[in-house]
Amino acid sequence: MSDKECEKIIDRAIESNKADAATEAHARTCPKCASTLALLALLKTSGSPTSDLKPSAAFLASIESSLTATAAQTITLKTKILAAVIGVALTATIALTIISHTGKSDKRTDKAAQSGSVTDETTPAASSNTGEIRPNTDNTAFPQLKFPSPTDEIK
Amino acid sequence: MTLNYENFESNDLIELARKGHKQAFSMLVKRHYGTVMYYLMGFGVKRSDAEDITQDAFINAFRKIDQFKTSGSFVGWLLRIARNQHIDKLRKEKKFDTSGSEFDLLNLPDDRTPEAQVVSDAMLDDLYAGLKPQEKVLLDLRIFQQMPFSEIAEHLGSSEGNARLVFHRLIVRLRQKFRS
Repeated sequence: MSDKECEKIIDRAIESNKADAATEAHARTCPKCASTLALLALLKTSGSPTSDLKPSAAFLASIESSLTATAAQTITLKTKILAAVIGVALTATIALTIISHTGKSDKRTDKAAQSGSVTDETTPAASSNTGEIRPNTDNTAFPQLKFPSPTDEIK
Repeated sequence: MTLNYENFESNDLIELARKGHKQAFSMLVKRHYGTVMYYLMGFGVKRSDAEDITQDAFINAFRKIDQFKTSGSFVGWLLRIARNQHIDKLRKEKKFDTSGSEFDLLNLPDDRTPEAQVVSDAMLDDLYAGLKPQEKVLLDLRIFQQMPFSEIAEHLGSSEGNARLVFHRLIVRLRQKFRS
């Protein structure tokens, strides 16, 4: 068997994390692959070559304090987002209520205008208004201008 | 109650970290610190700088842990964050070369001092002695994380064929050491 084929067998053993029956059968006839499989088993038990570098206590402490700060920031951010969402929802509800209310009153006015049954709420006097101020008419219907009296300042 | 996270599977630790368990995340830091450090050192980053980048990468990973898909490789995801962190640092220092060609795993720089090389070579009984950082990462990703060559190549900035070739040459070297 060529080196390439042996490599494929080794790759398969690594990927499946074990040597299957075909691999074992091949290893019995191929000393190179048998040796490689034994090496892989040894490497697996001795651990990763990168595990000789361990984080220092100071490094871990620094990471943990940063994580605490990050977690606190996340909570603050979540609270702010929640407050913003509630605010938007509240504003939207109020706006919707106002719009629907305005829509209803507009409809009512339109209906009334279309039906032509607008009741004449003017007084007989108003209907015959000629623009003249008449004596003995009800003056409360007109706006009354009130000026401060000169005695107000003295008070 | 203090939990002992030593025997937890990585996926369980990730789930706990997602729920805000800082100690579970610290265990992930302990497990993958070496891989991230060697990975960065493999790109020629000094150890002190690599430690700063590794710290930032882990903090970033904790911040973004909700974005991690458990179907993928956690180490791969972590290395991607570390790499981006490294690129950001280089950009800030205006040292990032965007015209960089493919990273050649066959011509890895050996940053060890001659003394260190002599010491490493003398430690023949230790299989890992004398391995370059990138080779250690390659072994870790392939044998311990069972990462496919396509993904390893992506992380190491190489081609799939190159990653496969270097890995098998490394295995031959280790096998010879193992036999002797």
